[in-house]
Amino acid sequence: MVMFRAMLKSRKGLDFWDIFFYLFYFLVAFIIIFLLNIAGCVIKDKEARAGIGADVSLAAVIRADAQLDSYLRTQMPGKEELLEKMGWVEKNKNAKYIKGLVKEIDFNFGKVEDFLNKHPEVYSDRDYSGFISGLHPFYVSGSKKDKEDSERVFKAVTAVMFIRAVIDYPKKGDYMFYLLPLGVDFGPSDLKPSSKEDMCKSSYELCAQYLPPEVVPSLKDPLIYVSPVRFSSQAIQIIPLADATLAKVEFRYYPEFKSRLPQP
Amino acid sequence: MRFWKKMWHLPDSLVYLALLARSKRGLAISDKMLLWIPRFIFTVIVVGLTFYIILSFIITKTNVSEAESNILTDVAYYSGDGFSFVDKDTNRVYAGVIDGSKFSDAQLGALLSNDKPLLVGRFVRRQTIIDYLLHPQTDAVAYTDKARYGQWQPIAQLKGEGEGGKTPYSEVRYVAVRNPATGNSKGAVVETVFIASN
Repeated sequence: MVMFRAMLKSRKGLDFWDIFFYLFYFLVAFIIIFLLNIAGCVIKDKEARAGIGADVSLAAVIRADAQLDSYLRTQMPGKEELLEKMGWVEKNKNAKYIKGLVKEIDFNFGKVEDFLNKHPEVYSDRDYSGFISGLHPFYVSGSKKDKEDSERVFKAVTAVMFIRAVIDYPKKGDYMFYLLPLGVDFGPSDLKPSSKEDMCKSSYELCAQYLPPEVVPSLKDPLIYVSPVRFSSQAIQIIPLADATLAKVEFRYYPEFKSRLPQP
Repeated sequence: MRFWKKMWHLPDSLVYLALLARSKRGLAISDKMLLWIPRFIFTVIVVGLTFYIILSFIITKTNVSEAESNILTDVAYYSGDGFSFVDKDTNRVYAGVIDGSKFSDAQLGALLSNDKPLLVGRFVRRQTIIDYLLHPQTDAVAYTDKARYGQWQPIAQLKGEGEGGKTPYSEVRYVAVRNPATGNSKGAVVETVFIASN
C-alpha cells in the first residue's frame, strides 16, 4: 500500500494510473477476442474450407479412390494388344526417358510373352481385378518359377496398361514416363494402407511403380504432408479370390503433379 | 485539484492540462510536457495492436473456389447425371467408368448449369500414352459452358490476382471408358481445368 501511495503521489514518469489504463486496454482487447472466438461469431478461411469438407487433401483422397476403381474396372486387352504394347516398350527400352522404367520393373519381354501365351486364362475376358485374381494361384503355388513369373508379368502388364507421361518435359517433344504405385497383398493380415514410404520395397507381394526423381523429389521424405513438395494419398480396395480369400490392393496418388498439370 | 484527481483517479497529465488551462501566465514547456511523448507513443501502440488483433479475426470473404472446383469435378465423375456409366436396370452408378456417349457439352452443361456464373470447366479425354503412341486418335473435349470458357480462358492464362481475375484449377486422372457396343472398358486419361472468378 505504501508503494502504491508513493506511485500515486509521483509526478514524474509513468504513474500507476497510466499503467492501469494500458492494462485496461489489453483487458478490453482480450475480452473482445474471447467473444469473437465463440463458435459462430467469426469463421476463419481455413475453418470454412474444413467446414465444407473439401480441402485439397480430401479431394486427393477421393481422386485416388476413383482412380483405383477405374484401374480395377479396366478391361484387360487381348493378347495381341498386350503384346503390341509390350513390343513398343521392348523396342524403345533404351530411350532416355523409358529405360529407367524398364529397369525398375525388371522388364523381360521374352519371359512375359511366354507366360501370356501359355496362360491366356489369366487375362482373357477379365478386367484388371480379374487379372490380379488370375495371378494368385501362380503366386501361391509354391513353385519359385511360378512366383517369379507372376511378379514379372504383374509388373509388365501393369506398366503397359497404366503408364502415364508428362509431355514436353524437359524439352518440347519429349515425354517423361511415370507409373503411380500399385501394390497387391494376397491374404492380408489387415486392410490398412501401408505406412512404408516406398511401399514396393517391403509391404506388398506384387507391386509396380516408377517414380523418377523429377516427378517425386525424394522418397526419403516421410509419408505425410510435406508442403509444398509432395504428399501421397492412399486408396485401398479388396478383391475376392477364387479360394475364398481376399487380396488387398493399394494405390497411391501424388497431387504434387499439379505443377505439370494442363493449363487453361 | 488534488481532490478531483483523487475523486476521479485522473492521470497526472490530465491534471496538468487543467492547471495549464487555469494559469494566467500562458503555456510553458516543462518536464511534464516532455513526458507526453512516450505516453502518446505507448497509447498509439496499444490502440494499434488492439485494432490489429480485432481486425485479424474479422474475415468477410473466404475463397473456396479450389474446393468448389474439386467438388464439381467429382460431381461429374460420381453423379448418375454426370458422365459415369449407369446400369439402367439397377440405376447403379459405376464410379470410375465413363460412358463415352455422355461425355458431351450438353451433359455437363445441364449437370452444372447452376454453377455457370461462378465456375466453368473443360474436360479433355485422352488416350493413355502407349495407346496414343501406337494408334493416335483425336481427343474428346467437353465443356460445362463453352462460350463462357472461351471468354474466361485468356484472363485465366494471365493468372491475375484480385477482383476480376480468374484462377484455373487443374487435375489429371485415369478413367475407364466403357464401349457401349461391347460393354468393355478401356483406359484413358481425363484432364480437367476449372476456371473460377476471384
